[in-house]
Amino acid sequence: MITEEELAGTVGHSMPGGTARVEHYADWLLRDALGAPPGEPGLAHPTFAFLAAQGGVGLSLEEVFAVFGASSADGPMLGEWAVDFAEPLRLDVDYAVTCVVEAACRKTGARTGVFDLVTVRIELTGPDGRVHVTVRPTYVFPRRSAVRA
Amino acid sequence: MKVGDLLAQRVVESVDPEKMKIAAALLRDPNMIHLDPAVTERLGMGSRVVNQGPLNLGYVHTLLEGYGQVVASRFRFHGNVVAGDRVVAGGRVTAVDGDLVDCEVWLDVTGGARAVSGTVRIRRAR
Repeated sequence: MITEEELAGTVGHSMPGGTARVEHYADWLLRDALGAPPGEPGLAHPTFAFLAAQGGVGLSLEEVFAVFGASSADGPMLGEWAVDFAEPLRLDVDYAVTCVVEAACRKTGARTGVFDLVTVRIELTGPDGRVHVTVRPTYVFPRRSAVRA
Repeated sequence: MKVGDLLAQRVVESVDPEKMKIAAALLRDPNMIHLDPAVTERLGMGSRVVNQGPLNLGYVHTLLEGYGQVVASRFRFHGNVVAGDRVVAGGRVTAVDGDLVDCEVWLDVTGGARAVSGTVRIRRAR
């Protein structure tokens, strides 16, 4: 298990990043999975921000977990998720994606024991150079090997 | 819309495991708890596959799309939704400022617990 100091040291760490593009057929598939009606022409379902952001980080989820000394075998969970749209997410537009660790802290719960909370900020920048969408997932990493204080 | 108004509920009568397969492909999510009930059983999670978190918040986003454009949303995940669950997405208006409307929102499992809660801001459709 990484130390609390090592965990704190991940704040500011940048993931490789990449690009994201919401294809119209993928939006259709997500809407089908959700039972959602067709959206406004040219606009993606808001939940697609989740997929576009995650897909543009430049690492697999397993590789993201490894940055924090964890793996899927540890049972990481998505604790919170937030999105801010400066502009709606558009179909068939290329976005540049950047991702940086915004916060990381260790906590101890009476029932859950020791766990780490990590929030990353993922920004989708449009062709005009402005950030259109900001996504913040917060991961929960159980640290079952830790001894409770 | 005014403060205190309830949003029209959006109900999924039975969460469909086939939809989880689509979501797994879209998310490139390799976690087999969304696909194989034998895995959930082996992990002590019961005999039904677990819905992806993004689908759970997606039901709420879909409810909101009926009112306007989502400007911001924050969700907290409290528990799992599994195949066959009946879930109800709902919300209540907490503030109105011109065409911007703030709401508290949730996704409840019928006969179970709240799976998702959150706050959202939408821009009302004109």
